[in-house]
Amino acid sequence: MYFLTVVLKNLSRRKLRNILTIVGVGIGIGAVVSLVSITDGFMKSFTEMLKSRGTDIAVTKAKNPDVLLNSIDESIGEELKKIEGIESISRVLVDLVSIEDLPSVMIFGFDPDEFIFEHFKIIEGRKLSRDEEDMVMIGKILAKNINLKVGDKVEIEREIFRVVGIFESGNVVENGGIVMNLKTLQRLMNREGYVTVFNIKLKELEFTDSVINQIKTKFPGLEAMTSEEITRNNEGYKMAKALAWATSFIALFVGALGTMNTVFMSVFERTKEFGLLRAIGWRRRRIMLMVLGESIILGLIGGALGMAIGVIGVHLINQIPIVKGGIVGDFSAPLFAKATAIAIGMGIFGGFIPSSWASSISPAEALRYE
Amino acid sequence: MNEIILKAENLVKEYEEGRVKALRGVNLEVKRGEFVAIMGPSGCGKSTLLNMLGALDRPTSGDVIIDGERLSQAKSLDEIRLKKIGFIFQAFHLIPTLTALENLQIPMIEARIPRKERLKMATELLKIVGLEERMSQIPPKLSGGERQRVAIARSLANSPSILLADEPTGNLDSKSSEQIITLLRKINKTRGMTIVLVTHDPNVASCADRIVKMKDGILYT
Repeated sequence: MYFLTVVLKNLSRRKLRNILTIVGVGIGIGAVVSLVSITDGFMKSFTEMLKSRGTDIAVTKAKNPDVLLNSIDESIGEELKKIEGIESISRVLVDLVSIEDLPSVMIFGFDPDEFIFEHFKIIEGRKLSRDEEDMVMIGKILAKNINLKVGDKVEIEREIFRVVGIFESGNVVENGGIVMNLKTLQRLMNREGYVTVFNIKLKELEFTDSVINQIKTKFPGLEAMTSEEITRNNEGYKMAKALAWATSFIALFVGALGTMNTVFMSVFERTKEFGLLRAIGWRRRRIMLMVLGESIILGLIGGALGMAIGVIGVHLINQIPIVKGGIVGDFSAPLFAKATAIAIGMGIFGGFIPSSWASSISPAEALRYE
Repeated sequence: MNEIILKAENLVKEYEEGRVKALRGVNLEVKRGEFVAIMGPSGCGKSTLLNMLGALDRPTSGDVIIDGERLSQAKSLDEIRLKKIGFIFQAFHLIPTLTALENLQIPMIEARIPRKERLKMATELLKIVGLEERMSQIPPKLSGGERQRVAIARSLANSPSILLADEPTGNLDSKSSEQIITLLRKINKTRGMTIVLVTHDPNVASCADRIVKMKDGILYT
């Protein structure tokens, strides 16, 4: 028999109570695993989207959280091209327009000859070309929402355009928007000579740091970030992540209180037993270790259950029709490591006070206790 | 064989800031290998005395010397209880989830005896109390007499200097009581174990070498 055997056998009493406690911990850990994996998964697919455009570094205006309000002088693009390690640059102008009943639709201005244009996949019709100033491409979601087909006319800012193709770009934002020539959009929105973002493609990824540093030194008003940094600095993502942890924290706190309640009850029931153990020579520290061990094991089993709940939970959410596979859980090893650490933490939190109490009772009094 | 192994010097124990005087100056000397019964009515302070002799509690004044160690100067009472004292209680106090064999190992775990050795010693002790066939039973499956025999085996676990038994037959029928007393007597004779037993039952007390009577917190010989 090991010391651990004593701890485990103690947990075999009051099985139902312990199982309920484990479920409580499991729900808390499950909330962490599902919510955090969803936000992380969102970040991952957003980053992948940026990468799929072929962008290694994006240059925007510094300290401007709202991409749409960004205006950078287009001529800077020529300066950027001179930096060593940069293969090519794509200019993008982003704005909002209203179309038919929709008050705000994202509109993108691209130069069809630049690399970023390659990531659009045409479902119907064909790709826009550089000289077509009265043509647009529309994303598949927008096309479905306002029922537009190839060849249809659409009014944007009091000018008529013809739909030349319907595209699929692999991301929700572009699929719900309109794409036209950069020059046309600049004229239409009175933003001639301005772009929102420069997308940079590097010759080799190892140039990343040096290019970012050079851009920041040469153009103090600009920000240069990798795809990962863009997502990480995204306000929406930060908010979602904070919300995920805040929600989880409540569940975790409730779970930890449940654990404390269970451990306290089991300690009170065994007062005499602690008296006996102290009488036959067990030190306070051993009693504390035993009770804390019980509590940590409750936490660990709850943690394992919680991880299963989290993974299954994300899978189930994806079965809901409106979500339909739109959520990707990023179940990374660091997330599971965090969940395990939290589970142990809950055990310690729930067991610390009861175990201190159990170890502090005087053996003579505990043996008299009825 | 006249060495004093246990000595109480003018023991006083008061509760509730002196309003309750459980012990009013108890002096007692027990020789090595002696079997002493302390007899008295309930509430006379005999359990309190046993608690002091067993280092479960510290006296208000006076001192106890156990196998050469003065309790008032001892750094840790736990250590003394672990190594020098074996306790036997009226209510057995076995851990209900652990088998007889495992219950015996509880004090050995704290004494850091290696696992294999623990197992060997525990099996040996169960043989002494005649329960080797019941070693993998949990206490709820054992009779009262069997439980007390497991408890006696446990009290011997770390080879203590003294056994202290508090009404060991109080919860048993007369046949089991007799067996327990015979067992204690045997341990006293064959192993030379010093035993101090507290009881209110004259039949139980009569098997001791010496009977000490107690009343209102004072001993009479």
